[in-house]
Amino acid sequence: MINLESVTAGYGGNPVLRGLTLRFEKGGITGILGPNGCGKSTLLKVVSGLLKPTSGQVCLGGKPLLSYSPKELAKEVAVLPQSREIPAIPVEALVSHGRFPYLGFPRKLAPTDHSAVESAMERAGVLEHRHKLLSALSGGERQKVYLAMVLAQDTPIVLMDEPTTYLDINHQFELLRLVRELADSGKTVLVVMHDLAQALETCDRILLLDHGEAIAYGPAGEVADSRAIDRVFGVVSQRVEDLKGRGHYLFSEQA
Amino acid sequence: MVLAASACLLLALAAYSICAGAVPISLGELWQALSTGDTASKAGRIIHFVRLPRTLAALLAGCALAVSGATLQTVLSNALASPNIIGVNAGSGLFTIALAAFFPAYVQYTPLAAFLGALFALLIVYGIACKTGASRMTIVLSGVAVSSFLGAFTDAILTFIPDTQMNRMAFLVGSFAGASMEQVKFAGGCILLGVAAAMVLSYDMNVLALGEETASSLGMRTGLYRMAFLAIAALLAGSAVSFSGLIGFVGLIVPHAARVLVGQDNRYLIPLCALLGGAFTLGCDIAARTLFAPFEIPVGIVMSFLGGPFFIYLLLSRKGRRALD
Repeated sequence: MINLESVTAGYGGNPVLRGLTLRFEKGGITGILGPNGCGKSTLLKVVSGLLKPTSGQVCLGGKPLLSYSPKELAKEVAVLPQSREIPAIPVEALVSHGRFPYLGFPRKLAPTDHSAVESAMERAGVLEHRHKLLSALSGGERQKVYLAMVLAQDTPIVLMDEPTTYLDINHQFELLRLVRELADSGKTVLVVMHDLAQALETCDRILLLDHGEAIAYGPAGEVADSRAIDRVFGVVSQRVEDLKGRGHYLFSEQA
Repeated sequence: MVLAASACLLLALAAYSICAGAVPISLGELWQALSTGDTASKAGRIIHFVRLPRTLAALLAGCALAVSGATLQTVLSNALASPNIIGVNAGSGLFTIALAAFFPAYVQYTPLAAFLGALFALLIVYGIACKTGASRMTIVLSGVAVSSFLGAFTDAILTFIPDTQMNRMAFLVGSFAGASMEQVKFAGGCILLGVAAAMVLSYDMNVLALGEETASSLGMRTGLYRMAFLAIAALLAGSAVSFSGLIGFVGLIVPHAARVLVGQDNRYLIPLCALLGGAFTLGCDIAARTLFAPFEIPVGIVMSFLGGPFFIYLLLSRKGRRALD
């Protein structure tokens, strides 16, 4: 569904992704892992069209990304970026911005847009905050509001850059549950994560990057078993099972 | 509610501005003169040739500079951005004075020159900001540098060509004393156009305020919109400077005061800035000509005297600080 063909991309002439060739199938959660500076966020920017590759091309459903207009692309790919502005506007107003790609002039929301916003707020669990200012909410609630905006955008592909960073453990669980629901509803989710154990336990597939190259890509369990993560990060991983038989991963420093 | 109250305040101040002065005018005389267009009576002449142009000038300039400031603060994601701080006023001032000094036969094109000067300064600041990564501090610092540089040119012209056809003091500090209906009509048209454009695009301004990455991922052509908003801000500030001189401060403090009242939703912020900017400037102009009557002080001085402490109050109050963050 998403094809990268020999994609090289970077900033100011310095390549961060180097000749990456990948194919992301429709549906499921793909966790993108790798050390700092390996190109995880750059990969999301390339797939979302925010950064043009210096060579190679990205295709969505067989159609080159560059042939999409910005609004057409925004109907296909939604992005939850790592850093966000926190304007003092009501939650409902922010979530309604997710409908921007569907609005003509003069930016009047149609009944279908209103119901999409309502449904997105409900799914993200922020309906009770609809009249509150975004700036008055906690970090976890703000993250859910932005996720509601992404839901309102209603795209088949959702990209998330470290969505659980700075959240307490309960908000992390809640957010990851929402991400799972997105994938279960047929959306393709690519998510950059730093917590290796959380990624292995949450994602269906793992893409491991290092120095802008794909080191491993496949089902989470297979990538963990291959020890590629251990080699790239210089750690030792261990799979343990809890009393309910669920697998968890522990990571420790190499001796 | 806030918008309606501000509109009432603006109307009351406009009526008071026309009625108060060395020759007091009653509301009945004001209604008579405005409804019949009477310029034969003494009151009619005072209203049509002196106080109405001045009142409209103050109202429109305040409205334009406040909306320009709010637009710049949103588009540049910088709470310190305002027409005077980021060089827009200095650019307008330079082009206006250069036109008066070198092409005195074309002074009727002053609003156009002021607009081009404002746009010129904005493009330099924006260019530097883009080149260096557009950090908030870079924008302010480059604005200060551009203001200083363009201001030096203005001072040089006024020094070498002292008989420039312009009231130097009034222009540099800002004043509505010499405003004529012709000036107000032309620049006022540009201001109404600019305010209408900012209001129509206020939803888009909200989307742009979410940041480059988020706005782009929502399908917005951010570069195009940013340029359009900068052009609107330049049109507004340039038009105001063309007849009011280098009035500062209103473009900085009114948007922040308005944010305390309605938050950052530009759909409400922009019209409120238009109303409060007009009201604040009108109030300052009334004070400038009535506080020490029969003497008059330039409105820019009053504005700084009133606006400075008010801004400090905003910084000290918790709600104000939240709005500025």
